[in-house]
Amino acid sequence: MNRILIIARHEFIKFVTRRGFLFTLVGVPLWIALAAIVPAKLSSAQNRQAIFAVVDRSGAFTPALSRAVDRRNAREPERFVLADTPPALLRAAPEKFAAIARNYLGNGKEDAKFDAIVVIPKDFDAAHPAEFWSSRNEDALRDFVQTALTSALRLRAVHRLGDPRAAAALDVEAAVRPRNPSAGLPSAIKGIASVSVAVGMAILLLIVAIMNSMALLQGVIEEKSTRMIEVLLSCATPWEIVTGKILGVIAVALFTIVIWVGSAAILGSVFAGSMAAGMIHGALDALSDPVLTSLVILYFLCGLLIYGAIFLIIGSMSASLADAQAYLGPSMMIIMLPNLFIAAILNAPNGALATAASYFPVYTPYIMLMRVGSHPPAIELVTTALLSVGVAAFLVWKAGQTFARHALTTEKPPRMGSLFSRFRKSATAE
Amino acid sequence: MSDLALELVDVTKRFGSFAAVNALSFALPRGRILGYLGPNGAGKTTSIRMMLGILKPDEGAVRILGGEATGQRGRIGYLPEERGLYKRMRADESIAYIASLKGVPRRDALAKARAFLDRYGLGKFARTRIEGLSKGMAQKVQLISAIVHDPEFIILDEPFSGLDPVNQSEVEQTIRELTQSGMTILFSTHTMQHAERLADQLIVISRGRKLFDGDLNAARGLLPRRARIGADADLSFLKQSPQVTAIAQDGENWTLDLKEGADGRDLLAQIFERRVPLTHFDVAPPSLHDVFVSLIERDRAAA
Repeated sequence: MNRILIIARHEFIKFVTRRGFLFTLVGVPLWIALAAIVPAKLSSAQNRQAIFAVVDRSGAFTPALSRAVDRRNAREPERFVLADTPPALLRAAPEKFAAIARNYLGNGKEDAKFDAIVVIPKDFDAAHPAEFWSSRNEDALRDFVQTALTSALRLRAVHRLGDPRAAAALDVEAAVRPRNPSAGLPSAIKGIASVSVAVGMAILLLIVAIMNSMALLQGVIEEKSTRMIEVLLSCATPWEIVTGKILGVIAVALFTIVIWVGSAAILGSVFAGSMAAGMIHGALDALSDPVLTSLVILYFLCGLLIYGAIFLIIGSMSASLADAQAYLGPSMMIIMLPNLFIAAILNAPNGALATAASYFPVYTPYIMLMRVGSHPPAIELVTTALLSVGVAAFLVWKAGQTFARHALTTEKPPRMGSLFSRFRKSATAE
Repeated sequence: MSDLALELVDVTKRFGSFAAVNALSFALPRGRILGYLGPNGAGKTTSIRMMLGILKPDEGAVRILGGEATGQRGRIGYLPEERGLYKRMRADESIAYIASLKGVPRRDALAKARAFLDRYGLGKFARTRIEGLSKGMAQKVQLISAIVHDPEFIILDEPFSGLDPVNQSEVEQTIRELTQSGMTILFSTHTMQHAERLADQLIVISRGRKLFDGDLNAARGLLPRRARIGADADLSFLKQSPQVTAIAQDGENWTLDLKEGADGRDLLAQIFERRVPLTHFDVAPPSLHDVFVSLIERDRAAA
């Protein structure tokens, strides 16, 4: 046991003192923060104020557009602004309109006076369309103008039918206010936090497991190439070495998560104020559920053991990083496969797909971390927990066996086909 | 307690159909130095791995310090053929890591590592990473890693490999000091002079089998004494001497294999009788190099 802990300690120090690890420790949260902030910023940039003018040659539709803008701005202040139309635009002859409009619209640059100019012909109706002049993508404004003009045309049609009161009665806009019966209740907050904590742990599992297991793989190959492996094997059994190495990786993973989650909590409370504090409180509250916490820890550790063992097996069989690449490609594709179904699993965490995917041995911890906050049936929790422990134990044992068999060899690793058949034979024999 | 530090009894190790070690038997008493010799691919590294318990023999038994190797890890030191060190680790930590795996408490291991580094003139490099050390320095660090936990038996696989003559002498001196403190040492080498100077016992193996087991005198006894004569004249008349079994010429240098018991005085008398002027005359036992080459050539011829 002592030797296992010595090896684990050594592996931990070896990984965390690497420059690459420190970069990752800082770089990954930074990348995640950028991934969250940049789309939000881009989205808010797209939702900027849009100013437009109307050249209403019919003289009948500007008031309708003005009313539509007022209604819209009552919901979302100053989203669209109807500006006064310059006389030059009003006087422009049709053949010169484009050149004059360009002066006001620019070439899509920020210093343009208007984002769009709406030209309503004298005989505007369904057969004689209005024109929407703009030098950039203003789809939201165009849809808004189209809807407003459609309503105005319909009102005019009703008016022409001879019932002005009906026309006035039709000039209204329905409002639909979203409501959630559980909003604000403690149970709802805890439910959301439970799902968020578990899904967050699933994503962290994938990131830290792959990141650290790759380092583990490289370490084993380096030990093989420098013959350090012989020295280790003269000091400890293959099983002790493998267990120590995997424990070291688990320690690095947990250390990484503590640093990431801790710094996110601190930064969140400093910069995001009460919202982040509420989320942290919700997460801590969710983790106060002993069953949920135990399961999250169990699935997480089993996931780390499974991924660590897979990469250790690859490292043991490879004489060089180039050899390892031959296995890494297919292995990564297999490991990443559940990501194709993340959206479906999160939408229906207790649906048929999620349930079936939970019983694919290598994926069980990852999928169950995604689901555990959504309260799957107890029988599924028990069976998948047992399956995860069993698969993790089997793969760690297999890693020890592969390490003992291949650690001292420097020949080319076996082909994929012969590897599978060897694996199948040994599984059958056992 | 067994008087033997190491005992191999009919040990065989196969890789597929290839027998890397074939019915190998020998014993090494405690406190002695064994020179383990053999050409490349002879099975030295495989048998050393079996001695260390890294590989299990398919047949036969290996006993080290009276028991199985796996139970004696803390009492054995090992220096592998190539540099078995982590490049990015510091010298003192690298030594302490191996020592702690061998059972020395970490704090003591670090203190001992620094004391050993001081003793071997590397004190100021204690905090230097292995990748920053010269090959000679790294070899010393590795040697210290093999002995820092005070083992009773040390296995050194090619300890002189890649070292300059000064560093080779230092390693030789270290090996002598270690045996004076009662340690048993097995070392493999391709440089016969080291084995001649250091080993109490020699084992020569080829194709996984033992060809010779004995001391230096016994090894030299495998080949006749040789007379080396320098003369600007024809010495082929010496072929008729009853003391000579073979004669070879290389320019002015003549080499004559002598019969057992011949000391060369009769040859010198015959040369003086014919008034042949000599540039040199030397009768000496064969070198270990000659014995080794002869053994291996005979083995290959028999294969």
